[in-house]
Amino acid sequence: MDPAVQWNWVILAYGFTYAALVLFTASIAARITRARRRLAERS
Amino acid sequence: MTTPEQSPSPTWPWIAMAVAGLVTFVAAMTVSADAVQGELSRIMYVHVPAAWLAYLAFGVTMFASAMYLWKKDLKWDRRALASAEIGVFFTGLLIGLGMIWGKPTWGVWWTWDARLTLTAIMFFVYLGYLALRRTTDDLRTRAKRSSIFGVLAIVQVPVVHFSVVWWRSLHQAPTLLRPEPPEMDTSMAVTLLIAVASFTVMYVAMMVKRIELARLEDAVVIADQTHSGAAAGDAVTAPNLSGRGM
Repeated sequence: MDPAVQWNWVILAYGFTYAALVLFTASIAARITRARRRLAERS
Repeated sequence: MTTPEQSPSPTWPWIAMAVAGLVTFVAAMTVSADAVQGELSRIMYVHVPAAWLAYLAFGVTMFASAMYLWKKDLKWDRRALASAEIGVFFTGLLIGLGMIWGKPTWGVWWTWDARLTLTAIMFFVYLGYLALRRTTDDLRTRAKRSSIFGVLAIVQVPVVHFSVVWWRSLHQAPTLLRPEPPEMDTSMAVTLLIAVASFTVMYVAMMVKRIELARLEDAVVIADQTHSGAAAGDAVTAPNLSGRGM
């Protein structure tokens, strides 16, 4: 397989990995913020 | 005494995750390509660490679940939850990366090979663990049910890992977790170990933040139950006896 085509697959794999990591960590951060707000509303 | 919403929220895990991600990327992009697979071998430096973290996360889930059943302390249940969610995330990532690697090397995105099928089953079983936790708001009932599940579900991890040894498989044999030394060039093995170490740092950092979230979510549940309990208590201790209905 042409190395340029191979690089396309590598870029897809790393793009998928880092996009997933950013989304997952962002979801944790957003849920922490929401939980803190909900707790503050109840106290 | 600080309440959960006042407790400090450490920032170092975010920094650790970013640094670990950067280290993995630089190491994987600078190492020489494999003689047979060429540039595609670079996918290994995220695929194998994702598999390692799935195993590690589900192992920690089993340990924390067993500790909850022994100690009855909800902090162990929160640790089990945090690790299970991270494990599901990395199993999903592992399957996705396997598909991206499989298409150019095997010619197909997916095949019903033993390793692939068992990994998919493991993914759905641990999704079931997360779903089971949503069946009740009672923290103790939830912890007991999910801890039993968390202990039993670990049986899949060795089955997934050794599936390539026990059955004829399209998937290659284990690269690192095996009795013999790795059959790869030293520079590639070192790069893979750097990637595995970086992903492990990422896992620890994610655990810190996910446990913080679990503690806050439990505090919200307790606050809601205390609030609704007080309302119900008012109704019981001070019923409307005037006979005028609402």
